[in-house]
Amino acid sequence: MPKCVRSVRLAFVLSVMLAALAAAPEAQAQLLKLSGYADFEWVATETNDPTDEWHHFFDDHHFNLIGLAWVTDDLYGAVEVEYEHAGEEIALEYGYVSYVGIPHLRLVGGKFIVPFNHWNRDIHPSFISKMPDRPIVYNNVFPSTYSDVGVLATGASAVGNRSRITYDVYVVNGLKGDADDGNFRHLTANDREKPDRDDNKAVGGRLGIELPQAGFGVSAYSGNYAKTETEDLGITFLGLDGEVHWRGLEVRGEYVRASQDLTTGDENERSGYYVQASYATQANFEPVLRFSSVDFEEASGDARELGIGVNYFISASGTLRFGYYFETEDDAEFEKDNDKFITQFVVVF
Amino acid sequence: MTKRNRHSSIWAGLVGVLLLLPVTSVSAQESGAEMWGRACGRCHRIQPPNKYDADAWHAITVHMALTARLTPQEEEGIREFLMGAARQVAENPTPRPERGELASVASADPNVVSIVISRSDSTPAERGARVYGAQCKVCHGEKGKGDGPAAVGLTPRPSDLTQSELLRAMSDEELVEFLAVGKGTMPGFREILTEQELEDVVEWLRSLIGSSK
Repeated sequence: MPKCVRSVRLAFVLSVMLAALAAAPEAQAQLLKLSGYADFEWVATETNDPTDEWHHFFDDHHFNLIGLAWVTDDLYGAVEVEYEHAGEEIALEYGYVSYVGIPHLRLVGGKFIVPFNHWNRDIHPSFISKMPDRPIVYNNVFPSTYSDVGVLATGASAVGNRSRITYDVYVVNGLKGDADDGNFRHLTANDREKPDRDDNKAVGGRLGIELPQAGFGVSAYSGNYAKTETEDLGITFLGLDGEVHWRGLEVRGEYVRASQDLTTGDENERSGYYVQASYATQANFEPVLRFSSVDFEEASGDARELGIGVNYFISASGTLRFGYYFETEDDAEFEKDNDKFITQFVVVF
Repeated sequence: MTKRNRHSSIWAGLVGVLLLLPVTSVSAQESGAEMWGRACGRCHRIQPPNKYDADAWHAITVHMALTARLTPQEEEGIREFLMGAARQVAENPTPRPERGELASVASADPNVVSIVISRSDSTPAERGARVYGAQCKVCHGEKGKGDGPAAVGLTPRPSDLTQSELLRAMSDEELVEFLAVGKGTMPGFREILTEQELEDVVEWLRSLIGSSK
């Protein structure tokens, strides 16, 4: 790595730390607020086994606690602890300290959800998502929900009336995995030093513009996911997102393109997208339609999914949600149907 | 593209973006209530002001300003609105409305109100229309139909004022008191609007629903 780049990165990290230290002498816990959300599901999935075509089960999918600690006017901390699948998976979704004393710029240090497109950070939680499961593009092309440890600069600036430009720039430890492993769900955030660590950090960002009834963004992420004796293997994600709102109608879509270095010298390319339309009626019902597709460069693995759902808003805090997914996956020799039906009850508190 | 080139391209792109960002902002003309309806309803269903107390709203707006990438003006406007509304609810606790009963949300951004009603050459109804536009329209809609921009994200829905028998049955004095105290998810305005402003809004509401008392 060139010395100048290393120096810039070091200066950035130090500036975040100094900002936090500057505020620390006055620090005293003024507020600690606890909130969160929980959802409970009944899931039925198609198995492609002629003798037992459907499996079904209850799932206590999420019970996530969110804590906000407001230390001074300019310094606060946020944490989300997720209990998934009745506590089988317990993890820190995010936990960071943020310095917010500079207009149009907020500095974050710690573990945060990586701002890639809208889904990964902004709209994946079940109390926000319109459907009970994520689009397949965020299983197979981008490993959502991806959070990592590092530093983030984020903010917004008004442009005209009721519009704004937003930005996020971050440096994180980066996604790590085995060389040539094409299953992106196996990639994990490199939370701390490991014996086989590499010192290459991942960089990325998102630039967005939000108009009164529409929004658009471009995202990028680049880092090394593995290293061999002779080389570092990189992975890059590029994304586009857009949304349109008109009264109760919301249409949003996101596109992701991934490129992964292989030890053969080739690149594993894949892409995917989803488009979702929903309409919030005056009667507290909201029908939703979503189409998602993933396209692998290799012959097999392409998949398409059509989701049909409906939300019933019981109150400001509770939602009953139904979703049926027609999913078809192209295997090497035949097509597989992976349909599923999910009933979900979500509470935000 | 080589790895080094990829890294360089992304760094160059991000630095370029930062350089292009405007260094000054255009001040927003919206009220805090309008910002709340527009910015919060963009991603999730809107949580009514009476859901949390004022301290909690303070912490939440700091957090959401980062998460939702709000401008400083939006953060301040939304915080003032939600904290002001929550304080009103705390000072004037009212039982939660029954299903189908009048339930709505209004706003509390005194700065905006003082600007919009400063023209002294207006009639009471005209002044009331401006206050209504800044504070009530976001939920109740331009014509009072309960179809403001924030309405689709609220449960229960804001009421259709034009069909409200409750409003028709109230005297002007009762209506002023109703707006001052609030009900259900709608906060009161006693500490936010002056008595004259409340009376002006009542004048405007009368013209909306076509009644007089």
